[in-house]
Amino acid sequence: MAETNGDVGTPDDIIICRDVHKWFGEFHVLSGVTTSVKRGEKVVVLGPSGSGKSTFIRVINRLEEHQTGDIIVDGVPMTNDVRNIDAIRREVGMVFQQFNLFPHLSVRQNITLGPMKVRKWPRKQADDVADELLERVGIPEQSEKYPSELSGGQQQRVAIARALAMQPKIMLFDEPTSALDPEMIKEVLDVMRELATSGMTMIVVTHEVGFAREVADRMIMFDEGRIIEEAAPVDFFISPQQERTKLFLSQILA
Amino acid sequence: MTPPRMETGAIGWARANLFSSKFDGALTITGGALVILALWFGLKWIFIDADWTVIKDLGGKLAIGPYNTVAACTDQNCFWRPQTALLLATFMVGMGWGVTGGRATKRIAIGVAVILALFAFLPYSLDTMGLDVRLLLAANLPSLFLGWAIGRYAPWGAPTRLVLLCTGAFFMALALMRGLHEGPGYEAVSTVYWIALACLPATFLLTLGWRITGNNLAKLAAIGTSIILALLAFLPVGLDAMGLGVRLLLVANLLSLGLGWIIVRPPTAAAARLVLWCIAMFLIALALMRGVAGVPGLEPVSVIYWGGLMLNILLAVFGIVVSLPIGIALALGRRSNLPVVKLLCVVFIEVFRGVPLITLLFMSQVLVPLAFPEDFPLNSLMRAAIVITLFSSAYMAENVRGGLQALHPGQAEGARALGLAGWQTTLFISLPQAVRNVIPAIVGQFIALFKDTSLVYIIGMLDIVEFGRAFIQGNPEYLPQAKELFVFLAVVFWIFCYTMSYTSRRIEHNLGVGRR
Repeated sequence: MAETNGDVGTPDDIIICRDVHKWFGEFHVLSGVTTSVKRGEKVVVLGPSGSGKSTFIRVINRLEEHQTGDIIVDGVPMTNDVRNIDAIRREVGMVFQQFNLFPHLSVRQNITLGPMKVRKWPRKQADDVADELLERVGIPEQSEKYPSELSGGQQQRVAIARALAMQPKIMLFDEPTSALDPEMIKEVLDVMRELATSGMTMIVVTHEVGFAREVADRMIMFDEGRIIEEAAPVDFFISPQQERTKLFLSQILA
Repeated sequence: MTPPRMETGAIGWARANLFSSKFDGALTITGGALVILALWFGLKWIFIDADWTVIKDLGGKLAIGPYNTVAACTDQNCFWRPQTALLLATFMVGMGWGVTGGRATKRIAIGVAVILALFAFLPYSLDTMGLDVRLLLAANLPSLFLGWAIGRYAPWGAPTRLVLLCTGAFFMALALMRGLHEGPGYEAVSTVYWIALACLPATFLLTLGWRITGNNLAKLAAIGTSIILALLAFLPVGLDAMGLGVRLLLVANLLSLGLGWIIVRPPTAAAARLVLWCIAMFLIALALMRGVAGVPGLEPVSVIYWGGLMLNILLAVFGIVVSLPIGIALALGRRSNLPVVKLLCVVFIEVFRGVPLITLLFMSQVLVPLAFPEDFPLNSLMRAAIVITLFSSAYMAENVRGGLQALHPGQAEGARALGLAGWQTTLFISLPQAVRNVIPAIVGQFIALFKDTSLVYIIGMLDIVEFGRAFIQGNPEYLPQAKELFVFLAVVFWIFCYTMSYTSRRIEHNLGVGRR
């Protein structure tokens, strides 16, 4: 998308990607991704499976290593320098499809681990923040339980609280509701809506069209490792420009 | 609609479980008959046919081997030393119960108390055992209770731990010196010895002062001292004049500095404190058994006279405690991305797993000394302990590696996304889950290790089995009672192994293995 190239790199941008490429062996999973995300912007990423949308958000905190191109997160260039990677990971929270809670730690310990070990907070402060966050995601009474004793929706809300405890500037969501039963999806989306109104920068990979319409500032459509369409949700859903987008939307809206 | 009526009560249960079909009924009757027959003959043998005088006559020797013989302790009575070590052990059992307050530790403590009380109070072999032995055995009961009370109610402050650890370090240093007694150059440097030894509390207090006051001058002094000590200890100058013993003491000084550093922020968890106590007690017991040159009543007893159950337990405890961390390190090394580290770990594991323990024990007598400086005070017990530990750690490594393989990659990703460093991810996320999942395999290895300690008879050490066997061989009048002896030994081993197995099941239960 040539016209977005001009936008890349303004001081407002918290994430900047320029011509990012990545291969899994021979498979070209990201082939020239160029985009940027502004502070406080909510971006929803759509695309068929294997289109590279998950890989795209995973290169933003170096869970996957990109091979060529530039990624700059909050002014810090993503290089092989461990200090840069650590600095970026401190500012970027991530929520996974499979929650990835630590089963041997209680809910509270899951949340306080990062702040205590990475931010070096005293236990008291970390515990206070954990209680506050559990209140915010609506499960204050579960702090002493273990993840396996919670429902899927509750687990995902703990995972969100765990990511928020590090006080990140950016939150990445990798299909956060795909592993959930329908009635639990709403409780997780409600938490994400509340988070969006608080002004957090969010990149969300999801197929929840209702959530995207309501919350997103911008939609990004991935196919075959590139961004084929970027637009505000109103335009994106009502008058998509690309045939591929139309086909995809007709399938998920059916 | 009401649920169908279920049969209840003993008859209902028997019908459901024992006689649910004709075939089941036949099996139940046959099996029951076999059990009754086995019980009948078994109990008849135990209580009527068997002649247990061999156990009675061997008595405490099964526990300590030839430790208290004239050859081992000339002109002194050494029996109180293993007895005191036992007191410390029961103290720790009691404290374990007091600290954890768990069902398993409580049952183990009560079991230990019952066994000790049986030996102390039962009216058998009055002539051979003597009142003093009985009194010492009986003293284990208050010791156990004292441990429980301290573990349960004492608010351990840093000073308690400080005193305890200093005592442990002191005894360790003394034992070390005793071992070096005959080393070359001892006469020339004995004054230096004492100076270096006297420095131990000083270096300790130095870092302690730094940590408590946060004074920069103290910090500088502590760091400077450790650099000087390290230089003195490791630089290859004055090799002949200084001797290994002094170097070891200098290293001990370094450790003492480190101790002063951590003691200010000691482990807050009761379990961690318990471990510290256990280590201190183990060292004190070891120093007691070994003896300290120059201290009246503590004349050294050469390890060739150590034997009996004491030897098995000593080797097993050392092996278990040391092989677990080595095994974990090897498992991590084998999964490392660094090719050299990985290769070294693979070679180590495969070599030690690929050679029979007996062969290793034989080799230990000639090969282990090659790995140490010439004047290093190695004895056969240490050589055996080292080999058994390394052998066990190779198996341990593979157990732990199995646990690491089974972890979902999302766990490490979740930790990395939080910003945890690689070593933090391993320490706080991967290892706890991996070890927790392979507790049965690890405890299996512990049990195998404990039983394998009997193999040290191969290098001439008199463990409980070999001591019993040698006793019968030397006293042919006991030959007909060999079966009683070996049945008794089997029961002794079984009690220890079952205790380990039971403890592991309780730990699994408490950690919620399989549930979360």
